[in-house]
Amino acid sequence: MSNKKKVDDINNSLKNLTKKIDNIKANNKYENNKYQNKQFNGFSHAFKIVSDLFANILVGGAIGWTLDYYFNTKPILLIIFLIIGFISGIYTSYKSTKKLQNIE
Amino acid sequence: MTEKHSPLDQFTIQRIFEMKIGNIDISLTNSSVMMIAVLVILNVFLIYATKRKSVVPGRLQSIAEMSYEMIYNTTQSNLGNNGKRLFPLVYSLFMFILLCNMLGLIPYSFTVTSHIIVTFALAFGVFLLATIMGFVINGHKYLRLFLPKGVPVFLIPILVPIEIVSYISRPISLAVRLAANMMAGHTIIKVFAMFVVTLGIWGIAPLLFIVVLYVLETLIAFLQAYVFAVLTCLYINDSFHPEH
Repeated sequence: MSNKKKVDDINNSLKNLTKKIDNIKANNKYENNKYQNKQFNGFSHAFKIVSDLFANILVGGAIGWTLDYYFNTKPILLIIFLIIGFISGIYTSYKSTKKLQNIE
Repeated sequence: MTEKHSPLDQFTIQRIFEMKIGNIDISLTNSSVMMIAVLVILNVFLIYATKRKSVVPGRLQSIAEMSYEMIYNTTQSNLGNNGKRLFPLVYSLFMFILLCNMLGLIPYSFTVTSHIIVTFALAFGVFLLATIMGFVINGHKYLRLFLPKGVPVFLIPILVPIEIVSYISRPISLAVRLAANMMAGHTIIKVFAMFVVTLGIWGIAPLLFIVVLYVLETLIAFLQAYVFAVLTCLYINDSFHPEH
């Protein structure tokens, strides 16, 4: 009689323990992933914006300069494409920021 | 102390073993030696670390598993079901850049990723892959990438060049980010190292600063590799779903 009770007790406590471990595991994994991703997303976003602003203006200037060189319209296209590059830099940053907001 | 040292000297490429095919210079330089070393270390490390395959991983095995899992999660969350197909590419890019950055931090070694041509080659490869895959998967519909949905007609002539410039600037942005970060960090460290010598006994202050800078540089070396991997995923994701 007492033996059976003991076995039941042990079984019950084992079940409880398994539940607890599962709970902790689930919570941990979820939170770890979330935290990690958020943290890194912020960093990569910051680095992305800085270099995007720079690279867009550079590419705009390069396109404008090349087209000027071929069409002999010395400063006009360079100016236009520099402005386009500047706008597209801000536009790209705006888009990626919006995407980040949607994720969070 | 009379000889002059420029903080940019560390980036000069030296020929170690001269080779030529016709007019093309294919000499073995310190840069290529570093890259070969990175590849060898990477392969040896990963093969050795995953050799034992124990259930409870040791130190080396858990490093390998952690890096694998991190990039796997990244590809899954950014690319969804297509992530598995592109995982090998993203993982090799990440590990290569990470190891280049990290080995470059060792004094007297050479930072491969501080040269913009190296990072540009990597970035342009990603860009080419994304573009070709976009056209293969979507056909001419891939051009919708340049024309977002629901744009008023009068905005089209302004928005299309903006989108095109933004698309072309992707590989340049990728390359400049990595190279500029690595070069700036190494130059600053070298400048402060020169202060240590010239300041004599007070050189202890810049020396302590260098220690802090090294920690920051290690973080940046890791982050830049990760950012490169994430953005590779994002750009390739556009070739699967150009409408967004």
